[in-house]
Amino acid sequence: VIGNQAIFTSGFTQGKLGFGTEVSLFGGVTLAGGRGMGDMVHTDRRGSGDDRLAWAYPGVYDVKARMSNTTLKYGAQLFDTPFLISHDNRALPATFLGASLVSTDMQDLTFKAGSITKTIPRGQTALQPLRTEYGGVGFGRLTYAGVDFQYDRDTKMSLHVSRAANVWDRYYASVSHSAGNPDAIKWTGLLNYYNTQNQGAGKQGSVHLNTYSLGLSGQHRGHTVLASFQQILGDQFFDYLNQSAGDLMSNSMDVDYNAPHEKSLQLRYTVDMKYYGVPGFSVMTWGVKGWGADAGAMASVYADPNSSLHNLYWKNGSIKQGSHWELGLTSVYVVQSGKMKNSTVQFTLMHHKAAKTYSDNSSNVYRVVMNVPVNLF
Amino acid sequence: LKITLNICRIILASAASVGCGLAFANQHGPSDAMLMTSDAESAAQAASQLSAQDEAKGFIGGSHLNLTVRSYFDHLQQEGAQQSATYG
Repeated sequence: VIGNQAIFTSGFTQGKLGFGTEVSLFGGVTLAGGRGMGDMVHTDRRGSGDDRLAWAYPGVYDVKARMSNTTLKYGAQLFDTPFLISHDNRALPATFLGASLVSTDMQDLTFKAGSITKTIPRGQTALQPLRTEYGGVGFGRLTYAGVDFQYDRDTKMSLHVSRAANVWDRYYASVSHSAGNPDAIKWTGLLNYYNTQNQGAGKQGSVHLNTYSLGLSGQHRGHTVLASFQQILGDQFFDYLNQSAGDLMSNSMDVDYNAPHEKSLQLRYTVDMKYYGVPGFSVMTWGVKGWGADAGAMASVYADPNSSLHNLYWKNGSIKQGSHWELGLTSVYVVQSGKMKNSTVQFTLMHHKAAKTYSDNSSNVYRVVMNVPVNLF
Repeated sequence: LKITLNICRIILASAASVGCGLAFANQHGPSDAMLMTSDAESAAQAASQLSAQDEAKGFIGGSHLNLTVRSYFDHLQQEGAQQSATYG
């Protein structure tokens, strides 16, 4: 598939309060594939791939206002928060309709807030209701607010809250700290923590979840090794908004390692080839093992096949549980100069092997993505 | 008594002045390079105090058009199911 994103971004009018706009045309052309390819090509509302050769739509459109270093936008836009990251692993990214506020007026602090009501999913051309990724539960609004604090060059903290209306309230905290010099060894520790509680009508049932990942990486010149442990403390899946990559847990790689009571361990190695004379080229490989998944507690609540959340906790007549693992390799080259500067070529290979009763199927993925950005004016 | 107090104040002030002078006598004054760096930092700080909106170039002047062309190839084999619309 060839995907094109043409985005016109206006400047802001001058004065204390500036106004502007963004408009775009997103388009795709299918070179191969069709029905059965899901959202890897153009897809209908049910999510099935179809045989449409080409499609186009306004993926991003918004009006914006800015005062000092604070910008408010309303419209279809790309988001980047711990709960809401426009998923961009297809020909075109998902976008969301709503308001966003980003402020960097206070030194070392970035404040973000927003509220969304619809999404244009990957592979589709029209606004669709929000829903949860694993539960498939629809809801009307996701609202969030939070702050990122860069304490010093090596220490960063974040604190965010969100509400998926009538589904859950979610809180996120993270802290990362680095010490040392990469010419010797630079150590970096990273903690991510989410707390989730059912909210309002509780459309996805009772949710009481604590989820964390704890990572430690060591970098020596171009070589970085990361070990991270992740745990789901609760009887429910650590679910998130569909079309969003809003899961910043360390072990969320090919799959999320997010089943009830699941523990997982990752070992990751990255090499930056600029230290060996090839700036812009990097290779990352990883392995993750997940174990202890057990949806039994909630499966007993939704044992009736006609119950709304039966398929969330049951798979082919069995309770979702078990272990799985994955191996992955991805290499990226970023063009460093010339007319193609900042163009990227990325090759990704992922193998996932899961128990028959685990929520995510075994899979193999081969992906090649080339991005060529052109600044027309 | 007033005269005595004033004399004491003068003596104390003089002693304090001499003491401070002696205390800082061995310290290096700021070099030209430091002053230049300091000035440069001040200028940079002053510049950084200008907000993004203060530097707005106008609706047209600050506008740009970006095109990103993406070639996307993905091959997925999934066990036990056809390719799922909800995959990844």
